[in-house]
Amino acid sequence: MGRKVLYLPIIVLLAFLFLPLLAIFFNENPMQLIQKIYSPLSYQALMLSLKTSLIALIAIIVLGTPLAYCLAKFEFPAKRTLEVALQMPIVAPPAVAGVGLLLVFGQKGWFGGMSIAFSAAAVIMAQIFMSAPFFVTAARQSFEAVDDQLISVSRTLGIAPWKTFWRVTFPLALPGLLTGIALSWARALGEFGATMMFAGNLPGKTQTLPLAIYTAMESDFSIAVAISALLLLVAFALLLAVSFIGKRKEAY
Amino acid sequence: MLHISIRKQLRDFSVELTEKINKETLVIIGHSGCGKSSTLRMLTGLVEPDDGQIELGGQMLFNTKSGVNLPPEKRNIGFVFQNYALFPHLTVTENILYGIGYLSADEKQERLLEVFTLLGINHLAHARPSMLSGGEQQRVAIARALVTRPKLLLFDEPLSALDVSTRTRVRAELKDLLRTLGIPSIVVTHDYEDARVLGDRIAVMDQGKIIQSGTADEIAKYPASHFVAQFTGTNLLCVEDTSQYAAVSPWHMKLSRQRGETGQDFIWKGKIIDMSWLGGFVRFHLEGDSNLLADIASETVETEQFQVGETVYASVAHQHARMLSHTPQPVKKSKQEGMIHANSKKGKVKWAVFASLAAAVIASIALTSGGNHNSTEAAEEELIAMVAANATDPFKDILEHTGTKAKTTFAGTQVLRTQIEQGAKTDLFLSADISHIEALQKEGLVDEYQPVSHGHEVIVVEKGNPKAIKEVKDLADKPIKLIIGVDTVPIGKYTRQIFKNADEVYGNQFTENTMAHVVSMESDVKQVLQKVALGEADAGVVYRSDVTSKFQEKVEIVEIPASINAESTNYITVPKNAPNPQAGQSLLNFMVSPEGQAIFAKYGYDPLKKEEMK
Repeated sequence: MGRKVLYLPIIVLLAFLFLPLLAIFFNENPMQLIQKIYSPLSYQALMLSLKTSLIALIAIIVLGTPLAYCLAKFEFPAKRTLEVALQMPIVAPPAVAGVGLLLVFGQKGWFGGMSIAFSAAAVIMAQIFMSAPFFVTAARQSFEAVDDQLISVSRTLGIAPWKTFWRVTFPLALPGLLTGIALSWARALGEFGATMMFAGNLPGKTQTLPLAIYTAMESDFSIAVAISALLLLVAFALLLAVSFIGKRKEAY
Repeated sequence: MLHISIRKQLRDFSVELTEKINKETLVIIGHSGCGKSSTLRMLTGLVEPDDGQIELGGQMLFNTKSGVNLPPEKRNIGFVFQNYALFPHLTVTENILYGIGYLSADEKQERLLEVFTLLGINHLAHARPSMLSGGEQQRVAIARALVTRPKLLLFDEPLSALDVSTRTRVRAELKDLLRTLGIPSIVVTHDYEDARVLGDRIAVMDQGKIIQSGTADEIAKYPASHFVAQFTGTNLLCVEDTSQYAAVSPWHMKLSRQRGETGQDFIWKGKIIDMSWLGGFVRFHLEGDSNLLADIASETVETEQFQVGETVYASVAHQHARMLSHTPQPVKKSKQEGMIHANSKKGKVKWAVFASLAAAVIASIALTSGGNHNSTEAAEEELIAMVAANATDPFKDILEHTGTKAKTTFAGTQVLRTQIEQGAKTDLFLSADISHIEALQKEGLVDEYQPVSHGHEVIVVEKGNPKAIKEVKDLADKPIKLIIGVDTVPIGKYTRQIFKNADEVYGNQFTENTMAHVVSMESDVKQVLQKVALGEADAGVVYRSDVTSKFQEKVEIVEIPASINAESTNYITVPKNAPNPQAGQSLLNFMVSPEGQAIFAKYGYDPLKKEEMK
């Protein structure tokens, strides 16, 4: 007894979490899987997914880092409210995001007439909307973890704020920032609902991997499985790479 | 030479400080939260005073009148933090060189050697801060501040991060170092012993104000208030029958059980509440009209056998009592207790939030599982139907019309087919596509099937038809955004059939040109309609039956001529494994009867042909 009591729930949960993912790889023999992955449909979708999610990621880092830094280091009115509001895209169903994006950026939206919907830009916007909070949250936490005294001492040693950021805050926050980047990227790669609503589903133009899976489900289940496997592999490789970089940086 | 004259409002009080410091060490002593750390931060420029000026070595660092406020990096003030704040990602050498990167390599090396030697940390050069002891960290932090050649050195509680055993040694080392350096220094601490050893001058701070300042000896002998006396460990006592106060060092006190027995001049009565043995003497804490401390030689305590709880008389010889010329201020109530309260309250609030969240989660799980349970139970006596999404509205109407209770799944035909293949039991299956129902027949899950409704496709455009789409040909000719169904769902297949038919009328370029205008391929007709209704797309091809009266408020219908239109047909069957086949069959019969067809017609469907009706 004792610790063994814990084994059953652990096994049940792990099986529940991993069996569906493993099933995707063992559904068909690997050769067939590879053959199906090489279909132009999935190649196009993969390329589009990588391209859009990378652009989304860059936008998220450039726009999200200042926000994360301010949330971590400064006090201002309604900060708590803002922090909670930032979690909304994480908890809101993606469909809600799609509707919201349409209402703001759609033809008849507040910024109407920009003709964003049904373009790669719309895919990127949907991805930014859904995945930015993951980066901002992780980045905020990692900036918060950087001792303010280190920043203060750097300045008393004659180093200006901007240089202090690059020499102290950034290297110390880097492992956390990388985690945020990985989470955010994985989320962007998997983005489906908001993309479907806002960007539509056109092979080669707005059909990302998740949309290709969904479309393939309507016709050829085995292609859907193959693309799912591809998506899982890409996401897994990504998380693994980031985790290794993070480990190396955590040495001190 | 440092001149300070600053004022800053903090939350509960204001810091007001005017000091002149030469090449000496000033120690500011006070309880935590008294404003001493804020004072240091104002000097470094990390916090801006409300008012006043700071001048260091002839340079104005801060002046509200002339608007001067140099940032910390321009002030040339070394700051050693309480926990030393070494950069964890840099080695000791990198830490020390951090602030002098602008110097030449030779000069860097020279200064590095200088501080290494001064502080005796040569052997630590390549270590990481996390590997150093507290004392070593302090020396590195001081070295890092010193290499920048600061004009003023500040120490925030330099010894409080050290354990008791190393504290005394490091304190003595620090004292020697400060003496060697000979630059103005300010140390803040809450420990009188630190202040006594390190300070050339001590300033006692309470609520942001210096209440007494002088050498260690001066403030210990003549504490200006109970607050100061508390720090120095001096007794500040009201002399019996007078309003005069005397400062008495604990080691001048004598204790006895009888009043006047010792023949001393000043006597106080008190109860022993604590005795601590400190080597050669015992420190007594007495509680009475005035609380006092008395240090009594251990041998005396052993002969007299004083006990905690006993009431005794403490006395002091006249020449050892230093009479004060003023009435000292009483000690203000410490704020510490209040703070602890506030914290625990905060903790409770957090727990309350957590608990209510947990409750909400549990409640919602209970609700959803309860809901599922109910619906499965009810389903046992009802008809079960699986209906292609396009027929949602007429089917609901038919159920209402016939008063049939049914548990119906409305979904895409492909999804329904998969569910039946996976063993889902249903009394009625309505398919939007013949291929799926044929497949089920081949698999032996379905016997016979028949058409239940016909439909045709239409072009939908935004209300008011801004792009002036009048006919099918416009789909190819006008620069529009078109949405159609994906080719794997029935509506997508019908749409492509229509385009093919149109090729024959308008020429082979029609399909090519039209497909170039497609901006999205949806797997759900409602999505096509919705996006046209929102104005995101200019036109879409959908089933006529999907354009409900609600949608007609937002979109207009452009008919596709029958000559090129594709007839869509819904098929219906009672599958072999139907749990309630009679109920399924009777509803099927109603649906294909003229009465049932009238309901379909209401929703934009076309009537069945005579020979198809039973």
